[in-house]
Amino acid sequence: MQVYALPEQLQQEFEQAAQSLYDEDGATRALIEAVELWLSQNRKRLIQAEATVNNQAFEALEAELIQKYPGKWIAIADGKVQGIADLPEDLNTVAEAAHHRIIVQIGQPRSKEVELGWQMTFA
Amino acid sequence: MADDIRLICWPTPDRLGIGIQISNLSGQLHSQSEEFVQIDTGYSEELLIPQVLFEKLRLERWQFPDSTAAQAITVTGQIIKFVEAPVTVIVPKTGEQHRVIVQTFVGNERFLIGRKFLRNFKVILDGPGQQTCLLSTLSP
Repeated sequence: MQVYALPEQLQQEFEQAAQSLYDEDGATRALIEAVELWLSQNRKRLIQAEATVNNQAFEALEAELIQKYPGKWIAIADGKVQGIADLPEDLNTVAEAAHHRIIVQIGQPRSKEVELGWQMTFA
Repeated sequence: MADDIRLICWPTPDRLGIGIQISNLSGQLHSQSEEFVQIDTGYSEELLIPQVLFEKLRLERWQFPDSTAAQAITVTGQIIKFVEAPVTVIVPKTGEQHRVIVQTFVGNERFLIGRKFLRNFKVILDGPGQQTCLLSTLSP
């Protein structure tokens, strides 16, 4: 098991805050929460980075895809077309390690304007 | 022979809605049992889900391109850009499954069924009975 050291002042502040919140095993609980939060944020960063690349690839390829594969579902991951299928489920195992994929049916027009109900009006 | 019609109802004294489960296209369910979701007939699309649920179901692995994503403008002029993905919606009480497109946006906590989703069903909004019902057709 690895042992990590925090700067002294940070450690003192952390232990005091954790104990005041959680009693006995406060530091452990707070550390677990902190690591989970960091992992979640890191995952979001990875997704966002991959999403940017995939969206750029889709925009560059869209005209060609409409010409070659009308009506087909395609998967884009890592900035490339990774699969073409008749159903989106057939693309489930494509680029399994990717955090973000674009899955889209080529040439299917979709409504761009959404009406929000009163629920959202007062959100 | 005529089909049997069943009336499947949810008690809804203060809100109109039905019980559903959402599954991503790999079959991962959003919960082990149905969740009551409110109907909002002012919302034009199929299903609006909380952003955390979009992430829990890992729907960024089935996400539609940003360039095709829908948007809305609130009464205060705020532009909302949606992220969207296909899912399967299950109505456990009737056994029905429907392919729909879910939407969410950054910070959204609302979980709503919209008008386009209701086109899959015959719905009774039973005010005096304080219930929302689906008319389900079962083959004999």
